[in-house]
Amino acid sequence: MFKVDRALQIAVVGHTNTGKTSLLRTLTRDRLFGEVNDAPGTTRHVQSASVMLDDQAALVWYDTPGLEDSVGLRDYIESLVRPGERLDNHDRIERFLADPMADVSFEQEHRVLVQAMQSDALLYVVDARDEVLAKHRDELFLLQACARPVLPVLNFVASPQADTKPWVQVFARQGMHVYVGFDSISPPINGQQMMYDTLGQVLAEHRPLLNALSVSAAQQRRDRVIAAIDLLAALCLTVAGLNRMVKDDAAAIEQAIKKQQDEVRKHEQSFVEHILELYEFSTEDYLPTTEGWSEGQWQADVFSEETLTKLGIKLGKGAAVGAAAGAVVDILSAGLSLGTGTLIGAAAGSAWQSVDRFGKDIAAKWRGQRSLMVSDAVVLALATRNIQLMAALEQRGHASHQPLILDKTQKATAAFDHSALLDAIGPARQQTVKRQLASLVGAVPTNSAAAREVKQVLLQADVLQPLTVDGLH
Amino acid sequence: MFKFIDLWCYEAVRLREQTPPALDDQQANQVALDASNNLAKRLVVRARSLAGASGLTAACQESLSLMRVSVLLAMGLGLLTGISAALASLGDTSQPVNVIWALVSLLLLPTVMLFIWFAMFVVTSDSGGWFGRLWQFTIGRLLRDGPRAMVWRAWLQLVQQARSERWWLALLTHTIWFSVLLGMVLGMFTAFSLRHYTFVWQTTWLSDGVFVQLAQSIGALPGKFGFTVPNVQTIQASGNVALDEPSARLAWANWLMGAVVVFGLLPRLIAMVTSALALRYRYRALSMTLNDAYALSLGHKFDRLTMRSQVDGPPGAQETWPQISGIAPEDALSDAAVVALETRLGENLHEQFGVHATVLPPLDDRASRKQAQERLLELKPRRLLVVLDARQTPDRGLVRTLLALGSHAVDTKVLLQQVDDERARLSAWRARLADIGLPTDLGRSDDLVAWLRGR
Repeated sequence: MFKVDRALQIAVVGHTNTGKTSLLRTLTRDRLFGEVNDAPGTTRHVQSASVMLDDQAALVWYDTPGLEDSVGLRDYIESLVRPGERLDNHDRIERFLADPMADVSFEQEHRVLVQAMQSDALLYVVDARDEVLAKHRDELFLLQACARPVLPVLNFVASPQADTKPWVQVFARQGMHVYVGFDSISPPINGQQMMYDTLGQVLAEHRPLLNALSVSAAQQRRDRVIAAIDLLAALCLTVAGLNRMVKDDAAAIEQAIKKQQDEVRKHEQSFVEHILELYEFSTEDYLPTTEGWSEGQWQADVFSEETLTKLGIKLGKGAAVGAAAGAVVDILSAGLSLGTGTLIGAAAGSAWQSVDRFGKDIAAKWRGQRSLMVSDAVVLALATRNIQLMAALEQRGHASHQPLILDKTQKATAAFDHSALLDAIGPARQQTVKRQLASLVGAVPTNSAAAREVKQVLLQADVLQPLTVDGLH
Repeated sequence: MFKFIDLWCYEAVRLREQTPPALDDQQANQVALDASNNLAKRLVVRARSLAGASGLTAACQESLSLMRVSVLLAMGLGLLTGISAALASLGDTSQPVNVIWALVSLLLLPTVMLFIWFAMFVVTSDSGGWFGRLWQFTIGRLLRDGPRAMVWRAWLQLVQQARSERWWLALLTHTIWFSVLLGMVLGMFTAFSLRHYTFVWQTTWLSDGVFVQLAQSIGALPGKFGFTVPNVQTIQASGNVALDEPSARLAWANWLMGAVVVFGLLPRLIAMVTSALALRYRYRALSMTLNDAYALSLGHKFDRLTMRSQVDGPPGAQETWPQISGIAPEDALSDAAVVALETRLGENLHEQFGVHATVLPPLDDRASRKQAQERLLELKPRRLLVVLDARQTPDRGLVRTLLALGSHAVDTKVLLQQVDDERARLSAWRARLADIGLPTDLGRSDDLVAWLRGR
């Protein structure tokens, strides 16, 4: 528990249209903060966002309007100096702020400078893709005259058009040797930590607070990943445990397969909605590969051969023998009835289907029923795809406008131990007396042991590794 | 520290919110925000408020009373069973009571079941006894639909989360057995009070000594609790034929009762209290999971509601711009001039336009602005072309400069470069240029060359 005496006040300043509001959206993980538009002067007032630490506001970010006419402002300020008068730069700014005409001709700049004078430090945001111009140098001059530590932030450094060198030189000439390279659209996964740590370098007396914030940001990221994996483990177990009794004829089986597929899609959709909420995104942020979000159209393709191969699900031995044949038939019942033949037919017609094996429900067998289960390959595909989703969300800035499409993300792998996952979901597949009893009692059968195991396997996925460790820089 | 019912309510709301349709939580969130700074407290307050609105609280109460009633009912049944068992084993007064026989028939089943329970409890991890299971099953069947099902599932989950399931079931099992045994004691007490019993032990081939030994060792422990044990003479005299003597009858009745109380009722009581204590301990240790997806998402929601945000005042008014106004045509002193404004793209302007126009040095900082204006004041061109970078933002400084430059020429046009770049801000440029009355067709440089040449 960190005791916060006074919240740090940090103003985010810079030329208009350099992504100040975007930067804050990403830093505060609030996709609706402020207003973002590709036009000058979108933000027209100072807006604050507080960062909480142990239930206390620890840091307040101030988003300010963009500076638009620093060259003119500097001229104007010079004109306020009476001939023969000796004023240092800070005095000049104060003179300007006291000037009754200041907020008429330089209304926005006036607001910015007022906020800057009230803040503990300034983040000076520039678009790393822009050329360095005289107006930027004048902005730096004005901000430095506020006598507050200024931390330059190079925004959009991930863009191929970004050129940081001239900027770094300008900063150095102004005596600013510490700066942050950031990208509001695809921020570094430890972006918040980075920001707090660097701020700690320019605000030495507030370093304990900034350290605590940095630690808390890392902790939150870890918690998030683990909570997400929890949900994913639950999804895997739920899908693996789907078990539908079906009469042993082709039409009934076909229908049951459809129903079960719909069930799987619904489960995945609800999982994705929860994940998006957890990551503080909305359904606008993710476009499933195939269609939109409307009901029933949800990613029909988990069941297609193409998706499975794309996700790297090997349909060989062990992992998903069943999927390769469309269906696995329990050896015990293979010879018993004609139903076997019709079953394979039905399943092969809708290839890669969910008919996997028969349950051990003896009563159902007596009634001539089969139990349909979702195939291993589908469970693996769900796990892979949604680990990719998590990794992609983790690297997505809350300022992004383009919906995320998984196919297009570069890291299309999410390697984890497939056979270990299949072993771990095993218990969910078994229809033990205990589970049946539990469902009779009205409990949703829980597999806390299995869930733990699935979680362990999924957490080992390569793309998640860097997210759960600390101190990457 | 939260009460069990709060946690139960939270769990029920959590389950409810995982299934559509979503609950309207606006008011609940506000109540929670006002109540505390602490996430756990906020979550509980929010859950309570939501549960009240969505009928879950009522369902909780109903379920609770159903559970209470069912336990009472089971205890009542147990009591009756115990009483009738006692009466049956004592028989009618026509025959003397065979003490050994009666004791075995009363204590055999409860004791065997206690041992089985204990063995199962130690060996398997989740056995809580059959009465408990039966109770759970029955309640589960009764609470099957609507909010009650949600509440019941929440109960089961919470119980599991506290790893207290078997303690619960054990408590129920022991309670029911306890009431059966209590019924026996009550039955015996009533029967001994209101009827006349004589007691014997019977044997075909065992000696008296065995029974003396047996009766005394059984009676030893109850004796410590104040139940009298028949003395040796009484025991010996009670063999096969009943001894109808008040002191003997009192002693035997005491002995029988003591044995049932100490070997039947007391162990169950101990087991019951142990289970209850274990439950209490488990629930004390039970805490809310604050790092699962649900709690984290709600935490974000609360943060979002608190952190946004004050503003320093109403947004500034949108800028109003004067129209660009140049000099009168008759005041013009030269034909054409070209200047690049805040861009390095204008470095080859000489090659492009040099033959037809005066090319001014690029314009960026204060000094160069001043210079350019002075130059234009001398030149007073008929046509002024300003070269701009479309990737720049048309900010106020730029527009002011543009207006200032335009005021020294008769006609001003703008050439935007890099219009095909993905970062070109064409719509912003169009809007700003229209504001100051400059042509918004951004022109090809060939046409502009022709224009500069006056054609």
